[in-house]
Amino acid sequence: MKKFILFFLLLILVACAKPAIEAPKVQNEPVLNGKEEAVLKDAIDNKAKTDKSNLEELQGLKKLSPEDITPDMIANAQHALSDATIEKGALAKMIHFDFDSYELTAEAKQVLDEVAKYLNEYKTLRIVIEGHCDERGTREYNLALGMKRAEVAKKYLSDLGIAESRLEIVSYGKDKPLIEGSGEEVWSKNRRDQFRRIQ
Amino acid sequence: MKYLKYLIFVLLFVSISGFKIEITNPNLRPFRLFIDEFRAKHGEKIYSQVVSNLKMLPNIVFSNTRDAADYEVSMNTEADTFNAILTNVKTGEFFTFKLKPFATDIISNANLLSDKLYEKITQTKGIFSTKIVFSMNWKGVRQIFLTDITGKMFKKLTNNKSDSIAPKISHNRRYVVYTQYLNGSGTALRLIDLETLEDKLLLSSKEINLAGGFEKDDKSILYVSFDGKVSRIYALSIQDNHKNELYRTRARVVSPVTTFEVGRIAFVSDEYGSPQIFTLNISDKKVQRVSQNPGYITSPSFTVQGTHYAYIGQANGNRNIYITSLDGSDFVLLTHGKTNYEDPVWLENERFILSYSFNKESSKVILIDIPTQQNIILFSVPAKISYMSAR
Repeated sequence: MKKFILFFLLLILVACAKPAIEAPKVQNEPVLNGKEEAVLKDAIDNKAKTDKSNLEELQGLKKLSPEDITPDMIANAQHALSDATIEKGALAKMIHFDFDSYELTAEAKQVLDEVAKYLNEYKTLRIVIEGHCDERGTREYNLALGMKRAEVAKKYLSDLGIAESRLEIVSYGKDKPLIEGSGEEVWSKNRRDQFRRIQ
Repeated sequence: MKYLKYLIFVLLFVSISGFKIEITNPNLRPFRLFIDEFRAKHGEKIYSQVVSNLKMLPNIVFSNTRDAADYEVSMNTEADTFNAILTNVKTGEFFTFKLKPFATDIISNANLLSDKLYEKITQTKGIFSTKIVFSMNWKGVRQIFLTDITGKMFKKLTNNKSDSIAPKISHNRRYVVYTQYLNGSGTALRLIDLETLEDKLLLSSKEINLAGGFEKDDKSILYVSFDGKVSRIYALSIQDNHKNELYRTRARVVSPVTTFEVGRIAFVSDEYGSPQIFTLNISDKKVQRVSQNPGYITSPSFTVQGTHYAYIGQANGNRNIYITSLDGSDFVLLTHGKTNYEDPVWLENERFILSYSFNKESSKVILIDIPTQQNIILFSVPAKISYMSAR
């Protein structure tokens, strides 16, 4: 019975291909702003249109029986949900990087300015900056790159007057992509820093 | 005349690939093996597993008749003992191997016997006792898993509440070191004793701590610690947790591994732009770049002789396995797939490299036969595995 429920959850999450957008709406708490939501929708739609194997995968999923569901598929579905519900406000925003780079772009600095403003409003708040990478390159090397990406954001916030004691950093390399798949549209979304409050 | 087809194959291969590496005990000539029909009441599973194991290797060819074979194997049981007799058909010399008791732990016994037979036939190290560790999602959290080379003896080693990644197994196959993410930020290095299954903390800190592997004597591990500014390589004793800083740089550094040469380790660094392989002489701290290709080069794994290493090179978007000697000569592109290969491990038997690849639905653990470049799929896992290591 449990597998059956998971099966249907998985079908809804994956076959509809927009779980990260719909899940928070149920809670009536928008996690992504309108622009981010549009970008994400666009990326998923484009990916589905242009990536034939992805379409085949989605069609294949419809034929799955509960017995075919693997721990990895469940984990990915759970991960998509948890990512979508992590933060709200300025902390829900992400900053993005160029390939194999940890230099802050002008857009990234704008987002960090908003994060700094938010942290100045909530003086007791402590956050973790998570560095992420796209799927290219090896896992261990990407862990090092993710740490560099998190560190530059920490330094920028620190230079804006946020106490370093309120900022932790961690890297997940390419292990926790925002969107599964390949192609620059997807990769550019996955090369990111995400923010998470320390409970 | 009988070996003509193999000779043609090898010559063709050499001419196409420019293959020049002299592997220790290459045994390019396949050995012909005849296995007698198994007649005992019990022990069929060991028999069939041994046959299945040996059949997948390119340098063992099964013969239909005893006369056409180099070696004959006959198996039987008596009480709780499983006997395997290996006979050199030409000389009549024979060897007897006994498994006692054999009824429990069938796969382990079959792997052990496969290795004994393989070693006696080829005079090289067996591969079937190899242990493989990797990280895989399990109900939302990545855990550490252990399996044998057939993929039939899966064991979940951890039950942690936070992600556990990058396991490395010791050369004596007794210990597994891995990284566990801490709540909030920071990571811990932990050590599992595979004999007792004790899982002990080695260290924890706010940095990303990532083990590259064990030192040659298995008494300490080599790991890298990075905080986003500086990367440091340490040797950490698994007995008393004493750590010794070996190297530090502002470049990105990963994968510190033994070169099997005393006092010398290797690692990956982007000191000069793209990631490349370097060696460090521990006594005088002299660092030397050993990979000379301008591309993206990571994940080194050395032969136990320390003369050659395998690595992942990324070109045209694909990650393939290359092998080369320490001085950069004897360079060979070993795989040509459109798939991405990950984490190559050059097995103690220098003929084979273990690696894996994955697509959207499953991962394949692959044995690569260096002389023929044949890819042998050992087993598939219906999920994405990562950070594989083997010994």
